[in-house]
Parts: sequence; C-alpha cells; structure tokens
Amino acid sequence: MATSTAQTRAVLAGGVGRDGVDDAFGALGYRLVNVIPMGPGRPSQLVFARNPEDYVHVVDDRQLGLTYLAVQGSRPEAMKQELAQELSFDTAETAQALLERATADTPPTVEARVRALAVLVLLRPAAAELTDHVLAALQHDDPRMRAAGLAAAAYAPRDELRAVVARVCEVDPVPSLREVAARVMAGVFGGVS
Amino acid sequence: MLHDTQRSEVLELTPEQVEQCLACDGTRDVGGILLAAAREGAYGRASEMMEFLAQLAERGLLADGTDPPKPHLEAPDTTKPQPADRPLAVLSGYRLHCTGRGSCCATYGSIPFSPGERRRAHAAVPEVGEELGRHLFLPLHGAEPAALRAVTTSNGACAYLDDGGRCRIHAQAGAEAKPRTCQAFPAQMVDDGEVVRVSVAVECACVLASLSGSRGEPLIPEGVDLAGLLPAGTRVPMLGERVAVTTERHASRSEVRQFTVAALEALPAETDGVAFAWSLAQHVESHGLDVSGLPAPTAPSVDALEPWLRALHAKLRDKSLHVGWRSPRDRSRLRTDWLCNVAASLLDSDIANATIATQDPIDARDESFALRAALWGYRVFERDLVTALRDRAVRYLLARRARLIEPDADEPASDHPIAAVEAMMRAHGLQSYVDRR
Repeated sequence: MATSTAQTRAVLAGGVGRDGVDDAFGALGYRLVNVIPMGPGRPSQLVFARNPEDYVHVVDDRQLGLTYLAVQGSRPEAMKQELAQELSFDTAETAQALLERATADTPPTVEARVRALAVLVLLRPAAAELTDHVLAALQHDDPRMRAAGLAAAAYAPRDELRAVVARVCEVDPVPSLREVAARVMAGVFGGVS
Repeated sequence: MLHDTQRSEVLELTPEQVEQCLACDGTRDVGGILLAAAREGAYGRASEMMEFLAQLAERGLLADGTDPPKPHLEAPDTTKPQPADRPLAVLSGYRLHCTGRGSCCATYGSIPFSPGERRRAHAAVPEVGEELGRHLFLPLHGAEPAALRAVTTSNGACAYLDDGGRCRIHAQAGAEAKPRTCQAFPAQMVDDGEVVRVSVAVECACVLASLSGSRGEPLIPEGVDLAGLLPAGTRVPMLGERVAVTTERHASRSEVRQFTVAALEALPAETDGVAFAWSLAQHVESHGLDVSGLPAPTAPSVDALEPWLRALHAKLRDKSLHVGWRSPRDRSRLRTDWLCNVAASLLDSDIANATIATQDPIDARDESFALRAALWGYRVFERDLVTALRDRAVRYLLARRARLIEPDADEPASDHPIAAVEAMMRAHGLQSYVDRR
C-alpha cells in the first residue's frame, strides 16, 4: 500500500551544533541512514530515519549560510514539533519581524539580517512580503546584504527581482557579486535581456 | 579488545567502537565510516567518533595499505605462481602422528578462512554461524575487506572446536572440508628458487612426540612431488633474492641454500641445541656461511646470555600484564604466565648455569629437531641469521628450564616445551623480545 508523504522544513538556530543534532536524533530513535557529500549544486546532507516513512534530511546549506531540516513523512508537522522538543529552531515569524526592524532607530546587525532573510526565503519562499525584503537587500550598501539578496533571488525567483539582479550584474562594485549575479541571471532568469 | 601489538597493549573498546574500527576498511571516507557504523547501531556523536579515530591514528593504528612483506621471505605473488614443475623437497625421514587433541586449534589467534572455506564451514556446522552471527569471521589484518578472514576464538580456541578438542567441520564433513591452512598444518613451505622446501612448524607437541614413534603420515601426501600438485590455495612464500646473514652482510639465495645443507650435515640427531645454535652463530659471524671449519659446539656463558634473558623476561612480564582480559582457559594466557615464571628463574645466574649445563635426553632430541626444521624451512632467516641462531639458543634454554617448572595441568606441551615456546614466539609476538636487547 502506498503511503503519501509530505514535507516541511525547520531551520536550526545558530547555536545548534553537530553534537546537538546527533543527540537529538539519537534521543528520538532516529538512525543515520545516509551521508550525502556536497557536490555541484548540492549541499551536504545527513539523512536520519526512524521508520520506512519518516526521514529527516539535515542540510548544510553553505549558500544560505544555515543548516535546515527537511522533514518528510506521513505527519511531518508532528515530526517537526517532536524535534522542536530537542532542537532550537529559527522561525519565519521571528525572521520577518527582524527584517521589518531594518529601518528602526536601532536596526539589527547585518549578520542578523542576512540570516533572517535566508530563514524567510527557506520557510516562506512564496510569501508576498519577501519581495520587498529581497529588493532591499539587493540594493543595500553592504555587500554581505547584496550577496544574501542574490542567494534569496536564486531560491525564490520572481519577475520583480529581475531588473535589480541585472543591475547588480552590470554595475556592482564587487566583482565576485557581479559574477554571482550573472549566474543567477543565467540560471534563474534566463539570461540578461 | 584491540591488540596494539606495537606497544604490547590491549585497548578495551566499547561494542560501538569495535564497529567503528571495522568500518575503517580502507574503502570509506569519514562520511562512509559514520554511515557504516550507524548501520550497525554504533553511532552516537560524530565528534566522539572522530575523536576516537584521531586517537587510533595517533597511536599509529590507522594506516593505508598493508604492511610490506618481511625482508627474508617475499610475500607470495599470486600473479606469478610457482612453476608447476618445481620439485618439492620434504624434510627427510619425518612423519607426523597427530593425536587429534586439538591443541593446535587452541594455540593460534588467527586461523584464516577463504570465502569458499567459510561457505563449507557454514554448511557443515550451521549452528556455529547462527550462534555467533557476523562476528564468526573477522578481518585477518586490520579491517580490510580481504577475502581471507579469521575465525573468531572462544577461550582462545577456534570457534569450530568442540569441548572434546575435535574439529566440528572435520567431524561433520571430513578433513577435506577444513580450511587449507588447517589441512596443511604443521607443514611449512618455502620456495628457494630451485625447490619448494617442505618443513614443519615445531609449534605443537605432536610434532615432537612423533619423533619417538614409527607411526604417522608424511607431511605431504605421497605422490605429491611437484609444486603444481599442491592443493590450490597452498601458501608458498619465496625466499628473498638477498638474505641477511648479519645486520651488515647479506648472501644470495644460492649461498643460503648451500649453508643450510652444510649446517644440517653438521647437526647431530641429538645435541645440545643451545650450544650448537650459539656456536653456529659465532662461526657465521666470524667466518661467514662456510661451515666447513665449524668447531665443536660450546655452550654460551651466562654473561653472554644475560641481555637476551633480561629482554625475554621483560617482554614476557609486559605481556603477562596485558593478558588479563583473556579467558583464564586461554592457552596463550596460561603459557605467558608459565613462561614468564620460567624466564624469571633464569635471571638467577646459578639456575641459568645449571640449565645450560644439564639437558634432558628428550630435550637433546627436541632441540636438534627444532633446529633442523628451522634450517630446512629457512626459519632462521626470519631476521639476520646470526641473531636468529642466538635467539634459537635462548628459546631452547627457556624450554629446557620450562620442563622443570610446573605448567597449567592441561598444558599439551608439558613433555615438549619447545613446542609451547616456538608457538608463543611466532604466533603471539614473543619473538620481538630480540629487539629489546
């Protein structure tokens, strides 16, 4: 009998290390069943399973600069809730709130905003408000924010971003960012028109 | 338990760490090792496993590849089999009468089984496999996925040995079903480029007890007189092209062959093996391999033997400190304790002198035969000849003294202690005492 599976994601909080991951999965009865090394266009992953249906990929996403869980099974949300008892997660709500404070008198640090954008793009890639945050990042003075914006544009492409990414590709003062932007344009937006 | 033979130490590992070691088979990267260990339920924290592997590496217990072949005997090259028409030259006049008590099956830590031999053993005695599962056969060396695997031991004995000392494979399926190593034991073969010499490992009391009777079987079945007629899988190492005579001098294979023939002609059937081996070493050291002027054997002095005996005792004492994990019935543990006491007694110069001066008639025959077998089988070229001959003299002295010190009641070699000494020297690493002098 085929079993339907669904998937959800959870982003590990910054302080969670490999020992924490090993301890949590061990405590919940999961076993490591695969180790997928990093390859072209593929982040390194650990795959834990507890039964033939419940899998969790622990993805070390260097491009976004965070580690997230891709939880797959018949009841992925319940699995995620269970994992939340053992592991700390960053939430989309927190990330959203942090990004909205960007224009406040005491804005969050660039590092926090970079991470928040990555969290949001992973957990809510279709959210309408994401567009403004990515556009703001792509036009930010700090190259780290522009790099985060390019990564977000690659994960959650939409037409409103095309012109801004193309502009980064053409005029950004940082050569490596121009190269990244060119790859995003070619790979996601079908090239510079 | 993990034997660190380089340091003569035993590391007590958790079952999970054993699985992690077994996963380090040379085919996996770190991720693969993690995964293989996890598959066996031996995965907790990656960081702890990495730390464990780092500690093993620091001790020199992780390595790429395999050990290089010993300098004196080249590893058999399976791509270049011995010429099928290479004659066999069997140790003359010797016949083996095996008592069938299975003492040799409880002597060795590693008894190799090929894949076919494992299948035969499983088919003949399935209950052993059911009982021990995948731990019945373990890597012969390190954790490499080689075809040959070592059968596990219980109380130091082969898992297929029954309580009555009989091989269960033999009992169920006949002698031909046993591993090739067991069938060939105690015959030892070496290809010296002209012939394949067939000698005998003097590591089982049966080998020496056979000298007193007319019964017994030839080491090689009658009619098998060429290398090509040996059973497939028979291990025949090659004598090196150049062999060490002293630490500085070397000799050709041909010179070594002639030396052993001449030395065997000079060796009486019953002799003071301590004196003969020591004197032969002195002669070779002074005059090279020409033994035509070999003087009458003279026993070594206690002073000359002293560094050897101290090194031997130190090695045995260290070994006895690290055998506590073995079963109290384990033969190598019992022999370690026994021989440690024997070696300790020889540190008393009066006892050493008395042991040098007096020889039981059985020892006169056993010592002579042991040296004869070692010369014919080129075993005295395990290291440089002069050192190996002096080592032989020390071994025979140890065995002589062992006859006077009560061993464990079940010691099968109590009447022929040389067999116990030789087995401990080769199979349990005691021979490395020589390097401690």
